[in-house]
Parts: sequence; structure tokens; C-alpha cells
Amino acid sequence: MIFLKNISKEYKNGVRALNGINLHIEKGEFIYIIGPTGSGKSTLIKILDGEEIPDSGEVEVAGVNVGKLKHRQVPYYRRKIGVVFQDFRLLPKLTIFENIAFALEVVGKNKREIRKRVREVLKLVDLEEKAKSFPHELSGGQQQRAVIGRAIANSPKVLIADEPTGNLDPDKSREIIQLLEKINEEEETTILMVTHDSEIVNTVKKRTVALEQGYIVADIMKGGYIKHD
Amino acid sequence: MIRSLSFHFKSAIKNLFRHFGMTLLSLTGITIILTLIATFVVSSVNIGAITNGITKNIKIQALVDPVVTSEEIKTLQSAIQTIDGVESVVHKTKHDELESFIKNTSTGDQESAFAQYRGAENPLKDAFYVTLKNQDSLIGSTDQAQKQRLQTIRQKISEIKGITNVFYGGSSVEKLIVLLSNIKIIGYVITGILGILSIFLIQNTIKSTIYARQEEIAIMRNVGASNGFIKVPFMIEGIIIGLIGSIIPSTIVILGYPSLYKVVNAVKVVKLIEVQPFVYQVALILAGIGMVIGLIGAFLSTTKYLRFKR
Repeated sequence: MIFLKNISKEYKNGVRALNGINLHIEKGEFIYIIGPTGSGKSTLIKILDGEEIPDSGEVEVAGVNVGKLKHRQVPYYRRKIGVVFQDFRLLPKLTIFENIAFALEVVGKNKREIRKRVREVLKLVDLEEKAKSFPHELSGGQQQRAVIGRAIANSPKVLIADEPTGNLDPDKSREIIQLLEKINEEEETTILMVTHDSEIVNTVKKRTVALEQGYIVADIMKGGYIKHD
Repeated sequence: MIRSLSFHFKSAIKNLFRHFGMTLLSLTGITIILTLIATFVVSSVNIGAITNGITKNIKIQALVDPVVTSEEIKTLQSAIQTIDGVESVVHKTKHDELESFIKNTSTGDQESAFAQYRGAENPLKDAFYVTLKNQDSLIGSTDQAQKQRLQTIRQKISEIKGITNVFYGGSSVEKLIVLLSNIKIIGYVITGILGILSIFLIQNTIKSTIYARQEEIAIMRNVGASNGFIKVPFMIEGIIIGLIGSIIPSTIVILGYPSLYKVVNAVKVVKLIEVQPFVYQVALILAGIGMVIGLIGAFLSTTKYLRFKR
């Protein structure tokens, strides 16, 4: 589903964010990307998202050569992937239902389709009772579930989650992981989760890729957080 | 696109109210500018009509040498008639001339002092009144060409033997035509400048809307909305601002122009354009200008903001 071949990226300020990354992720996989700040995780997400173009190498996601996309093709590519950014919040003046519907409205779906899909998504993220609530009436964990719901509303083949448990307590974090696992199974979505959370990586074991200074330093199928000094 | 039109309209109207202060500011600006534009449009069109009226009434007066006999008058008349650009020639005897002169200078029932010159004492000369052809084309032509035409015809008439003097209101008419057309040109230039100014005004309003909606736009990109789709509500917002901005200027024209029309036409020097279809045409033009300005302003600011981002 995701192929990265020899990806390198250097920013204009001279920072080499990624150095010859090779990564192959199968359809339906659930993988963690771990690494300290500045290891290149964010750049990796931006390249997968089509926001940045790699200096060299090839990126293929869901059959699309992402590095070669023209500006106007990027939005259509984005409909195939879902991205949950750490700092993306819900629109405060819209209800949870409307927030999720928003993702479908902006890609031009018709009303009936939207209503049907939003109900499905709300059920999946277990927020059916909160459909008419506004974001500020929800807990942090519930808000994060709504954000994930919005990201998967367009039934993306790949879901990229950047620190989805970043601001949550361990219980709520586990809930989010369970939700992602459920999406992984029920929607057959390939999931790539960037995280700092060693607790989660060690308890809910998945394939784990460790990045450091732009290199992949470990790729462990059975998972577990790798400690460095 | 059509399907999501209600979505775009909703968000455009929401934006208008969300930045009510900014909207009000640019609405005020657009209103003032469109009012000025309305003034220029109304005066330019009327100046055009007045110029038209003046040139339509231009008559060349050619005085006849007293030695010319009444038989020779006929040949003179047909000679003038054959000059290119001459529509018609009317002959007035010196008696006709004096009578109309006396009539013009009489006050009430008291006959003018010039009445004593009736008969053999009449010092006036016979005259031809020459009307020019294709008056309408004079309006489209540049003033230089128009001036040239008048000069040529005048020249040709004065070259005919038996004609002593040729008058046509002379340089004062020329000067008036040139002056009016200069005023018209200045009006257009100012209108253009004001138009550009209002584009900037709307551009800034839309820019602030964009910044206020940055997060929403980021989410739209995130879920795969195309740039075109993201732009539409801003365009609608711009058009709405322009349209609303044209309401007051249009009202001023519709309510104010009839009074102006009455006052000016009472003086009977110049005749303004009829009120009825004109005010509505101007109102339509103002609404059109407002919407186009809004659209351009919104297009510029959204394009600038969205262009370099993927």
C-alpha cells in the first residue's frame, strides 16, 4: 500500500530531514513510527500527505506516485488518505455530526450519501449520542475520536495519525488505539501511527519503525519500544 | 459544484457576519466609491448627450456679398449644397434676417430700436444657413477629426465667390466640445482609479476572512477539497459585498436624478437624458461594477493565498 524508495529530503535551511528511507507497508497493516523530536517523522508524514516533495526517491501510496503529483491533483489524492494531525481541532461552531459531514461536503458528496456515511462513522467511533453536541461539550478523548471520524469519513485506504494520543491520559489513549484497531479491521484501512507513547507501543504490540536523524534505525515486526541513550 | 452551492452560500454569508466590522468597513468604502462612480457615470453619459446636442445644432452661417443678384443666389445655394458633408442649405434674405433680429431684441410689446432699419436702410446681408450631415458620427469621432471636418467645410464655403464671411459659432463651439470631452475622459479615468481602489479594499476584507478561516481551510485541504472549491465561498462573499455596496448609490441615482433632471431642464440651456430607463440602467451598471469588483478582489486574494500550497 505504501512504498518508499530511497527517499531523501533536505530543507532550504540545510536540515537533512530524511536520508535514503526505504519502507514497504502492506495493505491492511498497522504500524507505529517512533523516534525523538527532529528524527524526520513530521517530514515523512508531509511527504506521504503530498505536502512536501522528496528531493530524491519515489513515494507510492495506494497506487499514486505522490512525489509526481501536480498541485491541482493533490486534493484528489488526499481523498484516498486520511490524516489526523496533532493540532487539528474540530470546527467549534459546528456539531460533531456537522464536523464529520464537513469532510464529505467539501468533496461534493450529496446529502443522502453524507447522512448515511456520517451515521456509519459516528457508530464506528462510538459517538452516536454526541452527534448534536458541540466540540466544547466533549472530553478530549471524545474530540480525538471525532477527529479520527472526520479523517476516515471519505473511506481512505490509508490513515496516517500523528501523535493521536499526545494529549490524552493512558486510559483514553488505549481507547484511541482500540478505535484505530477497529478501523483497521472493519474498514480494512492501512494505519500508520506516529507516536512518542512507549506505553502504548509496548503493550499493544505492532510492527514498529524507529527513525533517528532521518534514518530508519529499526524495523521490528513484533514491536516494542526501542530505548536509546 | 452546483450541488454544493448551498454549502458555499451558507459559508459566504457566515463569513460576512463573522467579520462584521471588516465587512462594514469595506461596505462603506465600496458604497462611497460606487457613489462617486455613479456621479461620474451619470455626468459622463449626460456630457456625451449634451455634446451630441451641440454638434447636432451646429449651423454654419455664410453671408452673401450685397452685389450678388437674386438669380445668382440660386447658383450659390446649389454650389454650397454640393460640398461634401453638407446636409441642407436654407437661404434667408436680409429682410428675414432683420425681422428675426428685431424679434430677438424686442422686449414685451415695445419694438426694438432696430425696427427703424427696415426697408432700404437695412445694413444686413443675405445669408445661407448650412446644416451638416452625419451629426451622429460626430460623437464617435475624435474631437480633432470633428474640428477638422468643420474647418474643411467652412474653408470650402468661404472659397465660393460671392460669399463674404462664414461663421459657425467659431472657436467657442470647438472649445466647448473639447472641454466637455476632456471632462468625460477625466471622469472615466477617475472611475477606473476608484474601481482599482475598491478592488484593493475588497481584497483586504477577503484576506482577513481567509486568515480568520485558516484552520477551516487547513481542514478542507486535509480532507481533499480542491482549491477551486475552497475559493468559491470567498468569491461569493466578494460578490455579495459588491452587490450590497451598490444599493445606496443606486438609490441615490434613482431618487436624486429626477430632481436634477427637473432643475437642469428648467434652465433650458441643455437637456439631460430622460429619467425613465436611464436611472435603472445606471443602477444595473452600478450593481454590475460592484459585483465584478468584488469578484476580482476575492479572486486575487484567494489565489495569492492558495497558490503555493499543496
